[in-house]
Amino acid sequence: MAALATAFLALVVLAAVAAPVVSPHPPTRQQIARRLTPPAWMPGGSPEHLLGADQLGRDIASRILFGARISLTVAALAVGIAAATGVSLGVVAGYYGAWADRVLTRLADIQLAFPLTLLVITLIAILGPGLVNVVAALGLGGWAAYFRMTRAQVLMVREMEYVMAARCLGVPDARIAWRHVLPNAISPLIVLASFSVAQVIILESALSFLGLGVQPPTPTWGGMLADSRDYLAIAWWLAASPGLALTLTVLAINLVGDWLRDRLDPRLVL
Amino acid sequence: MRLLQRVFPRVAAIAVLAALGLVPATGPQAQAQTTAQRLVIGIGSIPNTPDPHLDSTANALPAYATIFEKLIESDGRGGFRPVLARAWRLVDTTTWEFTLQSGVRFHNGQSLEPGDVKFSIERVLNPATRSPWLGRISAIDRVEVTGPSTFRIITRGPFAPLLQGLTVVDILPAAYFQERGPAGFATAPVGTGPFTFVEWLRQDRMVVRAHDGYWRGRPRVDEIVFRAIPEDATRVAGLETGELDVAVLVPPEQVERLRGRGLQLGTVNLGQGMVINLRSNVPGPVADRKVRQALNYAVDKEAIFRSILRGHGRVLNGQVVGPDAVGHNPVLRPYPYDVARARRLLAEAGFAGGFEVTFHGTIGRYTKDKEIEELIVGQLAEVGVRARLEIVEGGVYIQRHIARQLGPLWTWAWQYFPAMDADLPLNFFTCAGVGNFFCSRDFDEVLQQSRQTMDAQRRQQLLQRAALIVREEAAVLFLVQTPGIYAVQQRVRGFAWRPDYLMDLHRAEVVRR
Amino acid sequence: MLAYLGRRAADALLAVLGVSTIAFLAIRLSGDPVALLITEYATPEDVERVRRALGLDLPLWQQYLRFLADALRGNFGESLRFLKPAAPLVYGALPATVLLAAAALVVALLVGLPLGVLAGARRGSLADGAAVAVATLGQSIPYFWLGILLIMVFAVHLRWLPAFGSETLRHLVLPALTLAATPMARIARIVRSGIVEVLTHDYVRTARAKGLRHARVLIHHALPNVAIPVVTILALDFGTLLGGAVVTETIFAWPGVGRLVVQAIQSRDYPVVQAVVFYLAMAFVGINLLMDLIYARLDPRIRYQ
Repeated sequence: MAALATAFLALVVLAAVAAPVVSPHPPTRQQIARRLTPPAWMPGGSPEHLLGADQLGRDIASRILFGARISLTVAALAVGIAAATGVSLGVVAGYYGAWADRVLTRLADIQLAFPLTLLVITLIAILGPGLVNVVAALGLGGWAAYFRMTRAQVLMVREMEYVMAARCLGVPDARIAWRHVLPNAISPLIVLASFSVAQVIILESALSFLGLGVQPPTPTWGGMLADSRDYLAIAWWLAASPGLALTLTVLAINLVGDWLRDRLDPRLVL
Repeated sequence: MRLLQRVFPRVAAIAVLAALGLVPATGPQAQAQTTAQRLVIGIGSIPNTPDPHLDSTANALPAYATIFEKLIESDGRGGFRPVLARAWRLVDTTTWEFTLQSGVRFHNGQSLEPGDVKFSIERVLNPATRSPWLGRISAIDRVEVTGPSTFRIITRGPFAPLLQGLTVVDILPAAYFQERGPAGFATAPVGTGPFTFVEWLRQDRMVVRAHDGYWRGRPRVDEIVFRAIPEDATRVAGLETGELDVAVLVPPEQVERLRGRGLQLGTVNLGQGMVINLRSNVPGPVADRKVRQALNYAVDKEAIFRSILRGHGRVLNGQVVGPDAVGHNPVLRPYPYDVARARRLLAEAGFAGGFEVTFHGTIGRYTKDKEIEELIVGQLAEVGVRARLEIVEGGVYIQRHIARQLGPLWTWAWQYFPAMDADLPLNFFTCAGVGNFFCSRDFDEVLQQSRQTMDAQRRQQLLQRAALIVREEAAVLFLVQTPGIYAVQQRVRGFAWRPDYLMDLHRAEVVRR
Repeated sequence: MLAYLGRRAADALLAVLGVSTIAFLAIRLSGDPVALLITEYATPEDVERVRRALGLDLPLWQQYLRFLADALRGNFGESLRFLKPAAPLVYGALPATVLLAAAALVVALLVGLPLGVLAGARRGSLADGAAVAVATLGQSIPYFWLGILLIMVFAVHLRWLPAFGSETLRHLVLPALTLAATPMARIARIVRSGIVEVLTHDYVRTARAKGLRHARVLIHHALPNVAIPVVTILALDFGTLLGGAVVTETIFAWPGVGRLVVQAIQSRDYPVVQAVVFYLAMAFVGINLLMDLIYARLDPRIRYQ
């Protein structure tokens, strides 16, 4: 199962990287006369548009490929920002304790008190929509979970003998944090990150539904799915491909996450 | 855990029953059979409050119009129909005299008197009321009661569009309102309309009941329910399940399918001209008239009309209003779709290589707006204009428009309902207009003249001349008059949606089979 | 114990204050709320007048002090859109959302718990694979997509349930199912991993060795052990549910807080946003406090510090 999922993810990443080479059409080229062309194997379909054409006559297959690029990039960057922020603050809070810990923990509480979706909508309302802002909002909105987890791990590791020993030997704090504390915290963090990648992809689609996601005509899976809902009853293929791509990818990421957790830290609750 | 074990089976049983649909049906279908004539209308939103002076959103207009009435309304052919005002005349250039219908009573039995009109207009004019309609009638200086059924409206200076302004002011009962106060009135509003208020649930529904004593005869349906359903797909589904009798703003691509499923489909060309506004009063490529004309030539309006709107609505004739408006210029034609000419004009303006420009768009604000925007981005790219589309969320769109923070290109629909008069949109093309983006001294002069010209025909000519300037200057990228598509169950007769966004509900009926 | 509660309460108050302050700043920084009050046909004087009337012409810090003083009295000002006090607006819309969220949690538990137990008890089997797939699927489908799909199948096609509205229990089913997908998946996963872990413990092996039936072992020994993480998730998911409610309520025309707040954010109806945030933070902090007490009950090893 996990092997299959990994293989699928590899394929998605490959497709994303190779999108400009393998796409049959530019993803934003409109041929209005071909709008709502069904997939190639259906009556009325055309071999030129394997998965059909959308409401503006754009090739769906090409948009799926380029969409993989955008959706994965958004997810990876957002999770990267969230993890980097959360982990570094978590180390600071856990390692130094005192007022830094109190303030940061309180901040994390505040953040967690605010539903992520609403937080992101609010942030986008401030920043305005667009690729960069969506990444920023999703990234800034997700740091608290990493913070909490890192802090807890650091608190545990800090008291261990070898860390105490290192301290007594006068090893600089940053070095201790980097060399001794972090490696111990890494496995639950990886698992957490794998799940949040899936969450971010889904959240981007909700933003697109509300018109706050990555801006058109840039293709994203969530955006394609959101656009397709008016055509569900008359042109299901507009929804089927991005829906399938999104669901399968998130499924695969979750499965890999599960596997990682079982391998790295089976007691982890996620 | 004990508790969990005890409670679980019961909750489970209820949930399973509910999931299987075994819980007794008391939904709208069931009720529809017991109430003889109940019309359920699905619309994107309902009024924010039952007080008609406080909400000007388009979707609120038809709901308010069931309970309240105005002095006059547009007749759809450039003139006005009497409603609560039986007759009106111009006394001098700043004084209008109105005569009220006789025998009109409010739902509470009170008879309609000139004092009610005076009260209603003054309430809208009072800044403390915070009425969004204030701007439309702000030229009014005062209202004077001159007899048992007559009153005069005096404007500050000659003001030709006064009647247009009066098509938005609902007349409320002065004594009743003052007795109950604004909050009390909003819980039990009273008007002169064909229906009386029953219930208003925020963001959910507004229910009205037929008024037996309505002065123009009791309506045929007994009850009307306006349901707020923001999502298009859900509204269409509600029709198919029979939960709705009428749904408005049906997406164009659903028309054929719904017709095939036995529903009646109707389209009305709403009084709003959809355009791409072009900010020409700041430096940049768009400040050049040739560039603005090139943009107009570069976009295939017919393709928008045929492919995206599927033949609903109509292409604007190079002006912001349709032929259903006062001030429509019958001579003007749309800019033809001519890519070569667009390129030539761009080259003449010194932009042979095209240019990059920000294009602010909307989603779900106007029919098919996002698709139209995406299509335009694609077509502009053909002539080298790289438009960066940026969707702005609904709430701040008007604000950024007023603050001049949109554009150089941005989607806009110029509303001219319910008055159906070109003056309303054109007013914003003046150098001093709110959120102004265009400035032409010639235009300002002509429009100013039209506003002071009390002779209807002469005024019409002036408005047409103003429209001509807007087209020649290519002040905006003209697109389409947006369609209002609505679907109605077979059992419903006599329902129609009108260009002024109001609905014919007085003669509507639900036929029982 | 009392000192602990006191400290927690102080912390909670700080958190609520912090959230409210952030909401205040966010909404001011994000644009001029006056926009909501005016149509495209307003004059500049209209705009100025409204701004003065609302005190928006004051410096930010004065506005903030005003806001704090009013908020303490439960007064968040008048909604700019509805021209009604914001606080009653919010708690008026709250029951609909709480009902929806509660129903979703019940559905999530009813499906997620058995699914997780089944998967955990037969780890590695085909049933496990299927259960994990179903659970993951629940986490992989966007709300709006699932909602529209359910409407098309159960309302339009099968005619079993209404497509929208909130009148009866029948109207609750589809939105609750939509909203339940994510927590269902999470509960299933947590229960599964909990069961997997517990089944390796000695006392369970002993119980089994004593010949107790598999199902009995599961219910009496394994389930109580997954109670803590499940309760935690239920508490944490309340925020997630509200996020999901934003979309679900829009699809099903459900008149709840989710729709109210997202429209308020989009239209800068700041009194409503501030009221929602305030009550939400209160609720969340309250739930957290409650959780701490429940933990202590469920697990005697946890001590108040």
